[in-house]
Parts: sequence; structure tokens; C-alpha cells
Amino acid sequence: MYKKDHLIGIAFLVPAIIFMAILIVYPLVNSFTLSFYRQLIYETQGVYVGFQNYLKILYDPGFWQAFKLSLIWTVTTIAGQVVIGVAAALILHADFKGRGLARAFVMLPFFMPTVAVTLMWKWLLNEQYGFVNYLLMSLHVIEKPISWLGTSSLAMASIVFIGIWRYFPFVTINVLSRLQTIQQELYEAASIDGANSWKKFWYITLPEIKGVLAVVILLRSLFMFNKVDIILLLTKGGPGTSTLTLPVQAYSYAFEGMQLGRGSANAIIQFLIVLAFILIYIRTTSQASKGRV
Amino acid sequence: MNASKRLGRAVFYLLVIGLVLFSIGPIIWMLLSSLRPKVEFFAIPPTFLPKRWTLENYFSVFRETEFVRFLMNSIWISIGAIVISTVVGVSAAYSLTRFQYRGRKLFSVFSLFAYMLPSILLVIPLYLIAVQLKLTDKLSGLVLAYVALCLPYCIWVLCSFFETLPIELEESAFIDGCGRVRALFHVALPMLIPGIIAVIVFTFTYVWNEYLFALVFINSDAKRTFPVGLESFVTSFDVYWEYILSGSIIVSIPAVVIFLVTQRSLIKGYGAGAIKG
Repeated sequence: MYKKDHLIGIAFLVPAIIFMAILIVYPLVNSFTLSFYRQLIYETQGVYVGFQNYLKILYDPGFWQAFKLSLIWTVTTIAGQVVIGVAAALILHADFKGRGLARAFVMLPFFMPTVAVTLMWKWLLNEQYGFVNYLLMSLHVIEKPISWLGTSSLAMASIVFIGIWRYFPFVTINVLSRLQTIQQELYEAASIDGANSWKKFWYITLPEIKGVLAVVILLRSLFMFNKVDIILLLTKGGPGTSTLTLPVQAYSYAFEGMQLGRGSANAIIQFLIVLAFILIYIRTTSQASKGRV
Repeated sequence: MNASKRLGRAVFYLLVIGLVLFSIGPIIWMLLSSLRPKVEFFAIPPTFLPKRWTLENYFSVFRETEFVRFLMNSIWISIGAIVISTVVGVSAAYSLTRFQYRGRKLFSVFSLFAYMLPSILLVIPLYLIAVQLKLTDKLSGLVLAYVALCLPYCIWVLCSFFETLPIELEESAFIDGCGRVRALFHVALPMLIPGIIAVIVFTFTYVWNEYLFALVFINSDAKRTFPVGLESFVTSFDVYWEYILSGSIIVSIPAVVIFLVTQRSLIKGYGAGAIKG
């Protein structure tokens, strides 16, 4: 019945085509051309400079420093999110009194508004009156107050911790929903064969959640690599450039340095890195829907 | 129960308690802080419970700041983005899953692709477009930017929902003499409600959270959404913790309520990639 009326069908798509064309495709093309111009934020027309923005970026040690920080940020936050996220999912999958409440509590960090949790951590990590310093001092872990976000060597570790704290529930939600579909018979059979909990985890649970873990790690890598709000709010890339990851650097070129062209070139380079991940993701999920993962 | 089993149970409950404290301990501390008078903020040693419980921080953020305006701006922008993304998204998903024409697959894959784009890539050109259209410092400009960020995902999710619905029901409605519009509104849409709720929740959460675009697009105090508004209580001279703490709790309430209402279906049926953040 539906198959004959292409035109009516396409009419339903027209609003989406218009919005996507104006709000996504045109800006993307624009961003690409902009990256070949030297254009300040208050200028209406920039100067064509070819690959100069790109060359400047690639020869700039600051870019490579930011690239390195981006990798450190992405890899460490993801490792933490996966380890804590899976552990939390396994705990919350077990049967115990108050499980519903515990589940809701554990997911909470992910659903609080970003600005609320980042300002909350600023309050907790404050050098003079923050609760974290007080706690660590009364436990004799540290001797005097530490400026967590204000010390170059500690700022990255601090924001990584906060990144893990905020986003591990994403892993938990996804793994938990997968755990609920594993057939109980598998565990019962294993019990009869005398398998202990560790063996059950290693030979049943892990293979079952491998697929969802792969997808979750891919997605989280994308989101963490692109993350700008949480870093902007906590450290603005500082102190110095100790937490200046690539997206934060692009932001500061474009909107603080006012160099839109250079900021765009920076964003395009990030896009190319991200593109590889997106293609892998689309491949993985389309295979999954064909039942191959 | 034997001793080793009992010990195992105790260790397990310790793990649960540790996990819950790790997750909400910081949030509880913020809540307790917001309920004490300002003079207690910087007390050393801090007391776990406030010595004097008070709501004065909550009154003062409403009385002494532009907080209400920030909140209203956020609410309006959320509504705008939700309405546009949902209506356009449903219409597109209906088209992509119920009709056959060339380029369908390409369009839905493109919307998945667009959903994963780094927002820093879109913020620069969208800002320039907003400047050209004189939409900077306007709530409508921000609404359009948020549609750019949310619509691709809405289309993608609604398509996967639509695909699970049997087309036969709609076809039998046609045979019974139902027009296409009636078949859409009376047969297809009611079945799609869980999907529509999912994209409304997603769009709300996204817009309620968003900081980068709100920071770049808006210059004047009166047009700020609360993420930028709350942050403006951190000035170079002073940090107004009394406003920040109470304000943060207030803006968290809608997000948390929505999460509590939807969490069961979140954990049950969503699967990977259902959420962004």
C-alpha cells in the first residue's frame, strides 16, 4: 500500500530535510571553507589563506600537547568508566533488598545538570574550605590543603576523576540492560558443572556483554573526546595549559582568540579523528543488527 | 546460613553501600551545604549536618538574583526545542520507515552520523549564521541551535521504534477505508508513544544541560539560560556559594524527577547508544 506513494512519503521528510540542510549540512560545509580563511570573529569576510591554518596548527607544539592531553583524558576516563560501570552493573544486577533505590541512586550523577555537578565539585575541591581536603586531612592522607584544580600536576587527575564519576552510570545502564537478557539456564548449568562465581563471570557473563561493551566504549570515546563543557566549567583548560584538550583549544581559538578560521581548522582536524570512530561505530551496529556481533 | 555465606553477604552489602556513597555522597554534601546559613559555609571543621537548618539560601537566590529569569529562559528553550524536534522527527521517521524511495537509508545513516558530530565543530559556523541572521542573543537562535543538536538523534531513535511496529495494522486500516492521515493519527502514532516519550526526555535532558552554545550565543544577562547564569555567580571577585548551591539543587529537581519516572524503561529496553552525554 505504502510502496506506491513516494511523493507523499517524501513530503513527510521535507521539514527534516530543510532543518538538516540549514542547521547541519550548510554549517559543516561552512566550517570546512572557513578553515581555509583567516577570519576574525567581527569580520564579515575573511582572507583566503589555503592550508595555512592547518600548517600552523600542525607545526604548533601547543596542538600536539593538546592532542596528547585529549588522548590522556579520553583513555583514562573511559578505563575508569568501564571498570566502575561494569562493576556497578554486576552489583546492581544481583538480587538484594533495596535494589531499586540503589539503582536510582547510582544513576543519579549522570542525570544531574552538568553545571550543577561541576560547581558542586568546585565546592568540594576548594582549597580552603572544601570537604575533600578536610576528609583527606582528617584521615591523615595529606598534611596540608591541596588546590586540586589549581595545581598543574593535579588538575588533569581531578577532572578525570570527575569525568569518571559523572559518566560511569552510562556504562552501567547499558550493561545492566544487557545483563537482564542473559538466560538464567546458562548459569544453572554451570553451577551443576561446579563452576565458581569467577568462572561464571569469565565464561558466561563476559562473552555475553562483550558486544554491548564494544559499542559503549566506542560511543563513550566519541563523547569524551568531544567533551568541552565539563572542562570549560572546571578549569577552562588551565592552570596554564595543563587541561587544554583539543575541543577546549578550538573553543579558545575561536571565541577567546577570535580567530574563527583557525578554530575551524582545529575543529576539522578533530572531526577527522572522530570520523574514524563514527565509521567503526556505524559498521559495528549495522553488523549487530544483522546478528553478527 | 553458614558463616562464610553470611560473611559473603556482608561484604556484598558493604560494596553496595560503597557504590551508593560514591555516587550520591557528593550530591548529599551539596544538599546539606545548601541548607545551612552562609556563616557555616566556611566553618573548620565542617559539621556533617547543618547546626542550624535554613532555607534562606533558597529565598535569596530568588530574591537577589536573576535566577527566575534564567530558569524561565531554560524552560522556554526546552519547550521550543522539544516541539520542533519531536514534530519534525516523527514526520521524518514516518516517511523513512513507511515509504520506499531512494536515499532513505542514506538519510537515516546521515542522522546517526550527525548525532555523533562534535559540538565544537557546529558551534563556530552556527554562530556565524546566527550573526548573519541577527539571531545572536535571542532565545529563538538558541532554540534552532538545539534543534540542530537534537533532531538527528530524534530521527534515528524514532526510526528504530517505527521499524518494530507491524505495518499490517496500518494496512488493514486502509482496507477498512481509513484515509492515510487517519491511519497515521489513530493507528501508528498511538503505538509510537513510548518512542515519542523517549525523544522528549532526551531533548529535554540535552537542552537543560547544554552549556557551550548557551555561552557562545547569548551575551546579555536577561537572555541567559541557567547553566551560564549559575556559572555567572562565580565572579573574579567573589564566589556566591549561597546562590550556586541552592540554585544547583533547584535546577537538578526537574532532571532528577524525569529520570526517576523513566529509569525503569531506560534500564529495560534502551540498549546501547540510547543516550548521549
